[in-house]
Amino acid sequence: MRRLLALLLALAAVAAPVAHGCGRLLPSITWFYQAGRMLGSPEGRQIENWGPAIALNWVVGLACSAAALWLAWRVWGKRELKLDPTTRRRLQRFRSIRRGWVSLWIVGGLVGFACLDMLVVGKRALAVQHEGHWYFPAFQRGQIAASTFGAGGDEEADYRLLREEIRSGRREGFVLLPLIPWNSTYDTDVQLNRPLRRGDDGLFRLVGRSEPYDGVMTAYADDHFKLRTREVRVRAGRMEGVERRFDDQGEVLGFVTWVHGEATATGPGIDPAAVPAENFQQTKYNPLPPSWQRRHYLGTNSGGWDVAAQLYGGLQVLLRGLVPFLLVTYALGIALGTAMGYFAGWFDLVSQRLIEILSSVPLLLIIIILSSQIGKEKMTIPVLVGLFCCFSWIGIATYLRSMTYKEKTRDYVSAARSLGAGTGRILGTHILPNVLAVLITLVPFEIVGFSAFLTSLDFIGFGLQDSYPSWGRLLADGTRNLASPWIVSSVFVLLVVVLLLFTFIGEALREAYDPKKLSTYR
Amino acid sequence: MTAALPVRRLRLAGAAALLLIPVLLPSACRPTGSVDPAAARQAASEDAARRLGYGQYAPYDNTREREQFYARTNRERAREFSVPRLQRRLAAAAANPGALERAVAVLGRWLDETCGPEDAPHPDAAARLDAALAAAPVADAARQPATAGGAAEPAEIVQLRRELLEHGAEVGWNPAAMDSPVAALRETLGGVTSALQEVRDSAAAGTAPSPAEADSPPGPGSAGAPARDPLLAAVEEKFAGAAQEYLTAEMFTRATPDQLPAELRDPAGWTTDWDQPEIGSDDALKGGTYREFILDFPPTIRRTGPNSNNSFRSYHFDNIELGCIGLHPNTGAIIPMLCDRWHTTPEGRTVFFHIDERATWSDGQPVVAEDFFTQVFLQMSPAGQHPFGMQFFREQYTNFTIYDPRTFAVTMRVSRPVELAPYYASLTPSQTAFFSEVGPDFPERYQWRPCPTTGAYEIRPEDIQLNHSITLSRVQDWWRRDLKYSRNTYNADRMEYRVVRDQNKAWELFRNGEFEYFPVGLPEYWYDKSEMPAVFDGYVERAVFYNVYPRVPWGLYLNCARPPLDNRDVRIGIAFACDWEQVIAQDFRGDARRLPAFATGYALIPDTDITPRPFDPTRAREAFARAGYTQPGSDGILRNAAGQPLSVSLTLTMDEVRQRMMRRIAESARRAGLEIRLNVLDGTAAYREVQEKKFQMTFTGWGFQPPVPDFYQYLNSSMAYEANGTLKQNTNNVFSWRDPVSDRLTQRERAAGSMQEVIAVTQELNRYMDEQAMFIPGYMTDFARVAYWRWMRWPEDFSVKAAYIPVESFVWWIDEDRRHETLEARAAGRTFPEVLRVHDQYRQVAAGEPVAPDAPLDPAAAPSAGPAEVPASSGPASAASVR
Repeated sequence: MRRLLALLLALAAVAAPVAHGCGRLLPSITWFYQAGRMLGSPEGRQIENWGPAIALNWVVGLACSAAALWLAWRVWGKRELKLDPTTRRRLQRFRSIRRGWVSLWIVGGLVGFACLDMLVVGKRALAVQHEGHWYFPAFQRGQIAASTFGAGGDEEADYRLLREEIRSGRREGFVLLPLIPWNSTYDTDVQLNRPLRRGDDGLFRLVGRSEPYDGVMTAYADDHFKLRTREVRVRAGRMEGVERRFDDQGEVLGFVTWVHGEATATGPGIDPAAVPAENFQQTKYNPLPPSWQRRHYLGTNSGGWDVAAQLYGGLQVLLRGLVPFLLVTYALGIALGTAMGYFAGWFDLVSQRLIEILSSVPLLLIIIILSSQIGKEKMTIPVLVGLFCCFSWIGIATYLRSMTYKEKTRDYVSAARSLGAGTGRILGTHILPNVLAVLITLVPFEIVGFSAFLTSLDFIGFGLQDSYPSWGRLLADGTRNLASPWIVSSVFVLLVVVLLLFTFIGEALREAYDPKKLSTYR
Repeated sequence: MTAALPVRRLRLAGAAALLLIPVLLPSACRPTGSVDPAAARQAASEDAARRLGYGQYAPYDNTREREQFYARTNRERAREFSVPRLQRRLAAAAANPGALERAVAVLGRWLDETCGPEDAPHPDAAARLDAALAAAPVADAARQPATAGGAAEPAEIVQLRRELLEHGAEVGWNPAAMDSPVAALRETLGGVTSALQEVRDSAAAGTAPSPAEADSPPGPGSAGAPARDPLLAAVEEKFAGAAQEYLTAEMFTRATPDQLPAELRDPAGWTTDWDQPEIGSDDALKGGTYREFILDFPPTIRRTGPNSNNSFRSYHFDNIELGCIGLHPNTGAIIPMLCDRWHTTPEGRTVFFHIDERATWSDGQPVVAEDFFTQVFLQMSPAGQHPFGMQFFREQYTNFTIYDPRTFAVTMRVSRPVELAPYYASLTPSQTAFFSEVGPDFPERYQWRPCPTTGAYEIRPEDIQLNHSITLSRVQDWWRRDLKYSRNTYNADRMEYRVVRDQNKAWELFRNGEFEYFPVGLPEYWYDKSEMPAVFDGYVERAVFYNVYPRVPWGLYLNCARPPLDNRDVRIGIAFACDWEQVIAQDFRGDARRLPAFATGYALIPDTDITPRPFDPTRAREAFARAGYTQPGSDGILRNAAGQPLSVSLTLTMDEVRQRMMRRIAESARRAGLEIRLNVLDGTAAYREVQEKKFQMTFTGWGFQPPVPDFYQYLNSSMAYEANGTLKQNTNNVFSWRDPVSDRLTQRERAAGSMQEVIAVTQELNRYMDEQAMFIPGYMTDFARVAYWRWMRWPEDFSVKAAYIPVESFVWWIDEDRRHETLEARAAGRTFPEVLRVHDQYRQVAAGEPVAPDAPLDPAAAPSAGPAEVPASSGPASAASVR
């Protein structure tokens, strides 16, 4: 099992640079080779041909690959994890707290699921067979023009349409779409039409329904539901109120008034019976309710974007933001915190003042002002994470400072010093392992803080730019459209579940690392 | 702890008793029995006067200050006046042999005159100029033949200019300011020079002078008229506008009645129009209270000065106060308002007005011509602290003349179409007696002081509840109450505007019956929120009203100073890459229409027959290919040979509806290989970026007012670039557009003397904008949707044609009996038929008759979606409007 994991890790580490070099995409793995995008799109420059971006892609990517290989090597080589008794006890205690342990597994599963990337979500097909050729659009960097599949022009092929055409027998071939065949952003669906039929009793009903229809119905002149001919309100199955008639340009031609299904008043030049009362449709505009047929498993939001795809994309964004966030926050916090505690004196004084200044800065306000002034276009993950990291290290540093203060007066530190150990060694190999417990128990709560920060910022409209899917934006949209409960309920449930899982893990960790062994957690 | 408790209770009781004393005392002292309502109002008024601090200012009288202002302005004008006189003489002189010599002589005399005893700090300036002129080799230079290149200016002109600048500076003029005499003169001399040069060049080339560009309109004296002296023609053309500038030297003239033009001594010589249809409905009832919400409390109720241009201004001023004349809201004809007759001179610059003998202020004083002077004083003098007015009046008007207390004339700087001149000349008066305290403390003193009005509503001091509400009360003996065009309008006794800072909260209050009226244009309001039991039960009615009003040109505004938008093919490609059809079909649910052109929906101007570019990725790619963008990158975005992606930033505000539409546009553009980056900014920041011309594209709409558009602000190069070539900020030429063709067209537009010309040039400019694609027309809506409680009654035809918002027509009335009936029915659970009114009599395409107003709907029916919506544009247009 352990060796299998190591093997997979090594494989991924090798496959990524190869795929990247060949212009292929692999789920999540090749993402590490796209660090160049962090530099943003320089004005009038093409990012993929821009030297620094390419260099950064390779440097970060290869570093990640190397790290993965090293890890794989370590995991492969070790026969058994050698843990000191304290750690072993802590681990045991953590496993014995079922809630935390199960949560960890679920989170692990979620992370693994999020790593499947374009296998799960995206409008590009996983595989297409067309005239004997196989194409794998989702796994390559460029687009395949629609003309390749014998339709349209130079724009990207519409694989959903292709699949529809194959299904309806208008075309030969095979298309395999991802589980959710919608991009998480900038992939808008149009309105949904459901046919209505007039029964023998003269009442309109949705096809397949027995109760009379209530709502607006529209007749169309074409199959694409673009050109309306009539639009009328139906109450209890009968036409009621003012009907609008349209000409072949889509302009209003005139009005007919209906009372209990009878035309009572007609505008000039309008014959109530001129257009047959067939082909009426119920038109549902975005937000669309969950629909299996369109593969909107959780419906769409008010802008017509798929909710499930956005939830998935939001999770990915969160995880991708978390990695640099945790690295930077902990690096800064550990470095400054231990230094403050160990060196004390004027360095401590100055750093404390800096902390005081920083912690009195209202971060949310700063970001709101910045975002509204520089424009959302420039709000990317690196920018936001960078901003948040400027402030997030404070908590960790404060903890570490006091811990280091306490530890450095201990005898073992004096002993190490008298043995001739340098500052770096004392801090790194003697003090740090002894304060590690604090750091580890803080991780889940930092994660929760970061998620809440990202979501709330998007919720009030000042967060990431639109091309990033976002839970916060979805939540805001849902609260504005409470009449479409599928938006707010799905994002709310997911948000609560994820935050709860991390909180459970955090509590279990804290419990496991609790020095007062006798206390129990209820 | 337990011991302390009673003590604390006692303290609390004591504090409560103390608090009650001021509440109880007055009520105890108040005399019992009925209170005289007049006395009560008097008391409330005095109380409000104390509350609003009217009494804290010492008496002040600005009569002398006003007179000084008029006199000072007249003196300034007199100096300016010499310039055109000189120009005419120059023009005449330049046409004759030896022209320059004489011109320069005239110039000398002119300087002599204007640097006269009153304003000349350097009495020897004229003498020094004379000396300088004498020293210049004028006579020889004038006869000096032009060189082949023709670039060199005649030496005497150079010399003259230099001298003029020097001496001008000495006598305190600023040569850089455009309206200073020296700058004007410099222009004049420049014109003479170039005209001379042209003639000499063409003489040297042996050809007759002809228009420089093939497509320029033939000017007077062009090649077709060989009989006229070409030099004279050129100079005349150059000065045609300038020579007309001023008719009178003074700005404020007090004349006698016998100075009126002969034909106006008899009322029959004037124009009036009492033959238009009535505006109000005979069914209207007077009385009742109308309540509406405002999102912010106004910072002041002054009409001029700091903060006066706030959003509440239209509620108590623009919609209420009368101008000299008005436009009939249905026919567009000019109808009497404050003035019962008027007369326009044939060239369309001067309009004479006669104030209706019956016209009075709300305090009973008659309206006199002097009140119009006071209005100009408030706008133009530094005391009024109104920079916009100062500039506007200086640019628009050149003279105001009072002939008798009821007769005055207004002269505009440029000619207007004779049909519309009275509209442009129309002013709103300000009562002289009331504003006689305007002085150094004007803004504070008048902050909350309601002024007398000529309109139907006044604000009483006791009705100003700071930060809570303002109520307008009907002037009971309004002088126009029973006159044609005004009777049966302005019906409600009281109009209360309450501050509700959140629209959702205001909607809940409306649902609760605390407001009579609510605009339900937004999709969520029309489709979801207004599908509510109160509507099904007939307590709240809804209406769709088609109006005729300049359509807000919603669309993309391209800043052509920023590459790649300076390339016409790129702009055309962008126009083809935007899927407005989908925006209309989805976001508007098919109820908006594609905007054909920038200036659309003017009642007096037929719409230009333009089909806007549809969404067509193939044609977009063709256009982009012409601009060199041919290679798609891995993201599908096109690249040019240098590897630059076709990527444009689109600035917009945080409004959710607009963001949704622009996301759709960006997605469609991607299909054509164009990347549109949405740059969402806070409203103020977006406005600033646009005004500083730092943006690439922006999505917005400008609010226009009838009767005619003003392209000049949007397309003239003088509004785009400074003299030194940098982008000009804070102007409406957001396109940064600079082109001789548009300059010529916009100048023609400004100088248009007839409606035919206005129509022709408007349509030409619309076509020009379509051709150049610096503006990508989006959508327009031609109706308003409203919800109102059933005791708010409307005429048969609902509202007036030219009402941007139906409620601003003031033809509605409040039926208090119906209010009681409705409220009782609601309490008892009785219902009325559901009402949805559609009024399309003013719809501009294939309009039918209004269909069955009050069409009953089944009250028991379940909620369902309504027929249409109007996002975003039903409110006033974006903050980017200059007016």
